[in-house]
Amino acid sequence: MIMLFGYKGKILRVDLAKKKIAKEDLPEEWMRKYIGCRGINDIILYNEVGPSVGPLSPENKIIFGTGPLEGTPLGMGRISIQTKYINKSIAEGSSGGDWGPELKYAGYDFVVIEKKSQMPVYLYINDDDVEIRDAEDLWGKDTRETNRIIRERTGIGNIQVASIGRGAENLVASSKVIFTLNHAGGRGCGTIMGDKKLKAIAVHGTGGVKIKDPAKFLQAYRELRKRWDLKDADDPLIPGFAFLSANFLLQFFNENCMLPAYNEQKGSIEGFLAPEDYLQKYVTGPKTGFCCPFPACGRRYEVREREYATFSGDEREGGFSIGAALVGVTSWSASLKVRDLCNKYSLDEFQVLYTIAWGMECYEKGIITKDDTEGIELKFGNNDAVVEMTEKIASREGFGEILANGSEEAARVVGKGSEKFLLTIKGRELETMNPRAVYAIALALAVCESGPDHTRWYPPYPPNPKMIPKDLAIPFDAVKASLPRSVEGKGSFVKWLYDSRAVLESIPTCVFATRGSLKVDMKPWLDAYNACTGSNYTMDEFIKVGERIVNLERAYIIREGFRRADDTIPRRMLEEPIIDGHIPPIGENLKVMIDDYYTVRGWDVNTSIPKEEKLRELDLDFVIDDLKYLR
Amino acid sequence: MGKRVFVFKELCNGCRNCEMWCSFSQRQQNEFNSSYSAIRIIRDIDETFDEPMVNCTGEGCPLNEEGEPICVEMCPTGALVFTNLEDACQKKIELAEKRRVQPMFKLIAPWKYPYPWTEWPKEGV
Repeated sequence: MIMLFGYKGKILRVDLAKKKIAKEDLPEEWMRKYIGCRGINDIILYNEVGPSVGPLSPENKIIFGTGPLEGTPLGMGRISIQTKYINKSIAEGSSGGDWGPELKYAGYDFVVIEKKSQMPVYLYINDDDVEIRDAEDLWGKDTRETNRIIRERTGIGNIQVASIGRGAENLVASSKVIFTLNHAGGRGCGTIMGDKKLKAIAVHGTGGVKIKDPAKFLQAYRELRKRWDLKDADDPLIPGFAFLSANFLLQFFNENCMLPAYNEQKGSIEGFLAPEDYLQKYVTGPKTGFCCPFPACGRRYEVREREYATFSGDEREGGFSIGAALVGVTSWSASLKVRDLCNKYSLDEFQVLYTIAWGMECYEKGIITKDDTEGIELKFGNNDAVVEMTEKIASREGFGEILANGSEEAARVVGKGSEKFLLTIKGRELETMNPRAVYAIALALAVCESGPDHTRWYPPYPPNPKMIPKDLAIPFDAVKASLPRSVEGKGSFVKWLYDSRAVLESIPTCVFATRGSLKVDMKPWLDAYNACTGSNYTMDEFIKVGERIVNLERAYIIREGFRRADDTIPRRMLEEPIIDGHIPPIGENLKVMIDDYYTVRGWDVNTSIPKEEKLRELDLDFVIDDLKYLR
Repeated sequence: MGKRVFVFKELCNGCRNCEMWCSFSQRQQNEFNSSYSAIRIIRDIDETFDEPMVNCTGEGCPLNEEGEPICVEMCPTGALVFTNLEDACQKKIELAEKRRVQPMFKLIAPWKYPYPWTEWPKEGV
């Protein structure tokens, strides 16, 4: 057998009901066809969790996946978690941190969690030693405490712990898994983990990852490093992201009315959170995930303000900083507090925020009153209400009980036209990206297989055409693609984004590292992948893997009953303008772009079902029979 | 005076690039494996700090074109410096001064990225 380098070649299967642990080989065919991580997670899910499996039934599975580059600096610790979500679509998310590499060092590429446990348990992996251990006393503890207790109990100081908190235990919609302390990933996977009564997975490994061609690997990495270099970066945004991640966009977004202010009714907010303030007052130092090439993609912060007991932690993506505009939060301390609570309770910030923002709009428009909220004044800009509501959602108390099931479910309960304020796609909340300002975002959000997931198409704009190397063949028109509010050329651009990001998430690496010319130039990644594994993919074959992954995911949700009608964006974006920014609604433009996208993809324009010849071209013959009779 | 690796622990972001690349280059194992590494990033149980522990004299370590060992080359913040004692002392003082006037230097060393900001870049979003 010709084994590819980079892999451990092992899948760990854990049956929580029978308390049985099995190790099996990772088929080489999968490594070649789907590479790893998100790609192989997809094929496992497709094969093993069919349409007859209910999301909350014991037959549902959670898959933790790594890829060939995991454990090398280029993998950046990305781990992909996948399961079938409550709305029957795919729940997939990736996270950084040291957990993924540690799993690889312990000797496993994938962990598949099967069945349900009666009592709370946690999984202990120490190289070959794998045990299901009792976690009854850990149930109810937050992720920080869980982390600490497991570290103390196992006596291994740097054991990496993926755990869930109160939110996921209470099956709050879109709950996440928290890796170690502050790395969150997998919207919705935490909920299923809570349902399976799996409190945590603790991993420790002493192995390494072997590289086939070290000289070439180092060369490819140095090439990437050159493009990320702060001094000579070809992208003027690199330094901003490198120090403040998404936070640095706050001012730009506010000035250009691109913030999702007040449940996305407006585009700017008074008293927005200034990034300089944050840096000056709260940041204490840099803190990043495993082998991040940027100096301060994440930062340690400490809040010592009177409203809250002193708390500290580290944050990176800044989702809440931009999201703070949604609920009108105007203080960094409140913003960081909600972030801190979300990590402790393993809640999804986006779900929490959008749901509270929806509640606030209902409150301000008189659909719900103080009686419904048990005295909380749920008004935009009320910092305390946001913090209090987050707590209540996690423990399903009072009005939190209604909000905990997500805004779509809450609108069904509340009624009275409140569904008009919903900002959800395929039953899941948006992610503070602004589709009305940039049409590529609108299209990408609409056609996403898992509901909104920005890592699948980030970044939604091509680089400045001047930055694109001349000899680089790209399958879309960079000038047309970069026009923010035009429908032209968006289909092929978004297809390319999806395909290329699917590969990046499968090798795996961090999609936020695609900056400057790397947004379109995949060659250094391909070189690194080939050097690491010893395969010799051409660029076409490499991108084809991505296309295969996207088509497989599409086939999965088609089999679950999703069709073209589900590929849409919220009513507000289609019908209402951004008032203060004079940005018009998207309207019919979305339909034009989706037609374009399906055509480029080789999917049926009326149903979004991939055509037979497309599936054959992608070696997905086994899917054809499953989709044959579906209309 | 001879050069060696100095650590500015307040700048360490805990990324472990140095640890992984050291293991990769040090022995001809073609492997990323921290047990071969001369550097470990240590953390407390609640991860309130990260700090590189270096067990290295620099002897026999291959240097790159700029005369740096790979751990220093791959450090994104400038927390590791390959220099002599005198220069290291000077850098330590420079860092302390700059941190006071420009909060950006809480995150990165001035020798790594010597431009203080006046304004964020605003084009090309």
